Amino acid sequence: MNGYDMLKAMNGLDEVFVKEAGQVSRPSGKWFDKRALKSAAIILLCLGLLIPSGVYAYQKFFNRETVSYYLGDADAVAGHTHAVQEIVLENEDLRMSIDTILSDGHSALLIKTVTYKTDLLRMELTTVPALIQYARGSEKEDPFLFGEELPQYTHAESTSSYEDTTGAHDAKVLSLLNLHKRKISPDEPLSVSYYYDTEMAHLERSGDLAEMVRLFKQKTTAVPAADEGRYLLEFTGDSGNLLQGFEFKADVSPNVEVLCLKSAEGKILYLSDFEIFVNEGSLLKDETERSYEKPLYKNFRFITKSGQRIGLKSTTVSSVTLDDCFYFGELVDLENIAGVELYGTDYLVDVR
Amino acid sequence: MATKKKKDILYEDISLPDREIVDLFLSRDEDALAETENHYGTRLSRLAFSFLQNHEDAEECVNDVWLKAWNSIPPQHPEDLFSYLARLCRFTAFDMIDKRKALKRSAVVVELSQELQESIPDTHADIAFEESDLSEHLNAFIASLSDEKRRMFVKRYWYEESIAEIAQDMDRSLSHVKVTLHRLRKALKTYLQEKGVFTYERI
Repeated sequence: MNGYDMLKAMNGLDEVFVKEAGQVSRPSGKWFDKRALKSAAIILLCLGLLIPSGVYAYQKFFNRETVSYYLGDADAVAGHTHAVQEIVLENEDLRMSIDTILSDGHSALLIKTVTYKTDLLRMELTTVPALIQYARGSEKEDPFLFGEELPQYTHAESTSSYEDTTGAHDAKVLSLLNLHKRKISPDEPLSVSYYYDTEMAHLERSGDLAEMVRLFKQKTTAVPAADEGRYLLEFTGDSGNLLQGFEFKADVSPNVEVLCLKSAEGKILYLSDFEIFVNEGSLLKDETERSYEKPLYKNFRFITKSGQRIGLKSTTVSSVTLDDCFYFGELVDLENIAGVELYGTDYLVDVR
Repeated sequence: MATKKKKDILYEDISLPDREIVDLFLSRDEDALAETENHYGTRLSRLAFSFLQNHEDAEECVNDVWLKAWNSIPPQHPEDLFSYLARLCRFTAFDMIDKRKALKRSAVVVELSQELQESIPDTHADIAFEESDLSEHLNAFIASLSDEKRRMFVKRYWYEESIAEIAQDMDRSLSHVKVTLHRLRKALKTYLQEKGVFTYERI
């Protein structure tokens, strides 16, 4: 007898209860207004926006394109408990959707999409790292940069020049946080907040100065630059308007499977859906392996249950290695994995 | 079923009452399926997806539901068509999960199973039980609840709705829903204990 049996036994629930709970509650009858629904259906059909059946549950907040870009399989992500976040931070200038947070207890991985609502902002923020992401585990802790251990990966179609913004798209951002190293309990919600890094913005600009000042700072002054129509923005004070109130509580409790792997010599490492890690020591053979020229993924293979050895694709993410963990840059289905090979040593599943 | 007709129905009259749709089934009119899909396709797909967490499986499940509805009405004459279809959907989804051992249980099913595990008086008691007996106990427990708690419990563990969905639908805060469900699971455990269900003493 287990919880699944209990859940299944709910099949035999009395019709009356099922009917009662199945009724959709809405504050007013307007929701079911025939004309409104008909118009909406027609508009959606015209726009080709009718949501395919089945994806409705997470369509609203889940940016599949962004998640697929970093993890390969958005459907697989959606299958993880609380991986699909329902967090959207928005003001009149930009919208930030927190699409996914995956955690294996050792590290947390956050993927978000930043959408610019104005051409000026789109042009300005093609360098998204200017949007700084702070986090802290408890009110007493000092904030730290979420993703400091690894560069924050950003993919945005950059504009070829400041004048041409037609090529700009939403920015897809991946941030990684080493919970273990920071001694952050994954059971506690993590406070995440954003601000705009004025240092990054202290560059030569063109465009609508008044709008720029409104966006970034109350106290912004512009110094004319050598070229006509361009100027340098100088910021005073320490907080901008752009991202005021952009904060949320991140659930970083583990939501992916973790396998314990053991080598013939008894060395242990852990494999989760998105990384391998060790709780003590280093994954690297020696210090030089940390360099970008010798990424760990070149010495790493998955061993499938059928005995196949499969390497990882080279991605921006997989080409960076930390001491105690290594992110794959794609999501792995552990069902088919019997172990991994690292620097020629096999580590096989010890506890599943 | 004719696609054109289906679209026409969508544009011209999208609120055909259940009774009329059931009448279409009873008169063996294939428009019954188009109408049913228009009315309940999205909700059922969502329900199936919550169990199976896979679009292809969810689609297969919902297609099975259409077939089962077509084959069972008549002789069935459901008064509330959606809850009838949802029940077919639930049965079909659980059949799929049970039959396909390889099919990973969806995160939602795992999450809900873990939650309901809290309601089992003695998880070590390996007792053979009739699912129908347990269903009877569950019905009795649910019948004893207030309207709000009853709806909340069924929404969560029958319709597999998320906490956020329940909170929104019932105009309650997330924490209120979480706390209420937690208390309900504890109450169910006590209820089953009192009834001597799934305890060593019962053996």
